[in-house]
Amino acid sequence: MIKFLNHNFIYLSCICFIGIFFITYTYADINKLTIDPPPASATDTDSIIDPTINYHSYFNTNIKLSDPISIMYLSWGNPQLDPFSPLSQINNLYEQPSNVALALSSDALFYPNPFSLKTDTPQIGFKTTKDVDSQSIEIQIFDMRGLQVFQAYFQDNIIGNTYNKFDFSESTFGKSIPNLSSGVYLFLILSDGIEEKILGKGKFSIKP
Amino acid sequence: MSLINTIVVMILILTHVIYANNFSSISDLGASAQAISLGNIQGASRSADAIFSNPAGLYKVRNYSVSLFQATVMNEINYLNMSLCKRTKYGNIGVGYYSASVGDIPFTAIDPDTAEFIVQDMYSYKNQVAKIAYQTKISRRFHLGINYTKYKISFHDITASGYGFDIGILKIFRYFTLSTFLQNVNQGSINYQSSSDSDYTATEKIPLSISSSLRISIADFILYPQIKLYDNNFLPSFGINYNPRFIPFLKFNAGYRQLLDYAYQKHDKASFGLDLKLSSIVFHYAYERSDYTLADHTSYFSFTYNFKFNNSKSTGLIGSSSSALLLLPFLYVLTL
Repeated sequence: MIKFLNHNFIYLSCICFIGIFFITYTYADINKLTIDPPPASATDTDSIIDPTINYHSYFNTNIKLSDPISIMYLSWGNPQLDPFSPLSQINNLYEQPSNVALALSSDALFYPNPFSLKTDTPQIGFKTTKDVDSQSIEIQIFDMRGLQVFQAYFQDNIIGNTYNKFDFSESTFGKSIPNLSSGVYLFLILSDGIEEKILGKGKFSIKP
Repeated sequence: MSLINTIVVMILILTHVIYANNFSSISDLGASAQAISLGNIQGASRSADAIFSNPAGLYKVRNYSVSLFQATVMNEINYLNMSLCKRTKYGNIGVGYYSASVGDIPFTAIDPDTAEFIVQDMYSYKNQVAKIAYQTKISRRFHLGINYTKYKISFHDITASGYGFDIGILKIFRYFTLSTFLQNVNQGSINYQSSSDSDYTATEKIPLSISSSLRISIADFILYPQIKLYDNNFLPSFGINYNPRFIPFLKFNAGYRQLLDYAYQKHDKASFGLDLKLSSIVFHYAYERSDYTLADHTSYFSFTYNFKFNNSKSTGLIGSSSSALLLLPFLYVLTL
């Protein structure tokens, strides 16, 4: 009796093994894992990074660096996370553009300060949390009596999370800078949208 | 009347030699809350702050008059005005000081590592105007005032100074009073220097400003129409003062004015305020809207105090110990 059971067990085991082998062989092409060949050079990342996307704009700077993070190694080369992939929600390392509030992530500063409109080439520099289209950011300048002496929109696109410098000139604002008397001026940087929002403010002084 | 003709001819001559310049004086804000609430009419004041509007208006000062004015514009720029006037047997002598100061202005540099602009230091800005005034009467209804004005500006490594002269007349007619004020008749300039760059020098011309206003009393109202010529721009103003008979210690003011900003562009402003008279002290308040979104309401406060010192009567400039009240600021202005 025991001999009979042993034979049957061996027989059934063989049938199962052959069956599994047959099934996996049949569907191997469907479930086959493939490995992409490495890029031609270590710096060749064209297949990974879309040049039309500013990945820096969507990087969440509020994460705690002390927390462990998980990185999905998807391919050869440097590990990259695609901000448009559901996997990017891991650790909230990236935020969707619509979730990023537009703000200045650095002080808006004029350089040099003080400056002369006749002899210097002043610039204004600041960093925004995300990309901003042209003519969406406004500057308003006020003299010492609270009168608005200048108002204009930045004519160029503003790249998010990158320090942007703009000449304080007609080329930046699409209108000429008035001949301002010496003194102190206050300025506001505003976003233009459904609800106008003050992004930043500052001061500069002009010498003749 | 020949004097008025002479002055009118002088005005016409001066208007043809106006410089194309761009200096903006801080005192154009207004000498007091009362002046601002009346649309900055430059012939309305009869107390010490008339030094900044029309020194001929000092004729009403009988002994001493003190005016103080303070305002903070856009939560950043502090204005202060102090004026003192004393009657002497030679005429009225006045001293006035006006300042605008701003702190925490960033001095910027470029970060060598990131190429970003960074704040290297903070500096402050101070603009001071000091005036010495003299007023005398030509006749009982005709008064003349003159000013010597000193300008001083300092910020970061820049210092600047300049001076000017003003003339004001006030002619009282039967139904109205005519006031004319010529500011900076010498058309002086402000000269800038740098303590860190010996090659840096710059000049800004101070434009001639001419304003003419009327004071017309009708029942409980006083009307102040004014026209001002500033750097070839005609700037009208209008003020109304209402003093109800049933509350004689309270006056209500309203005003409209056109003024030039620091880019010499015209703006329209409306204002209102009130004067509260308690014995010889008068408190003034003025309200004005501002273009600045973060602080679009501006309130101005000032007061004037007319008083006697030791029951003194008119004395010489150095006629009594009380004159030290005037001499100290007088000397300060000269050394500014």
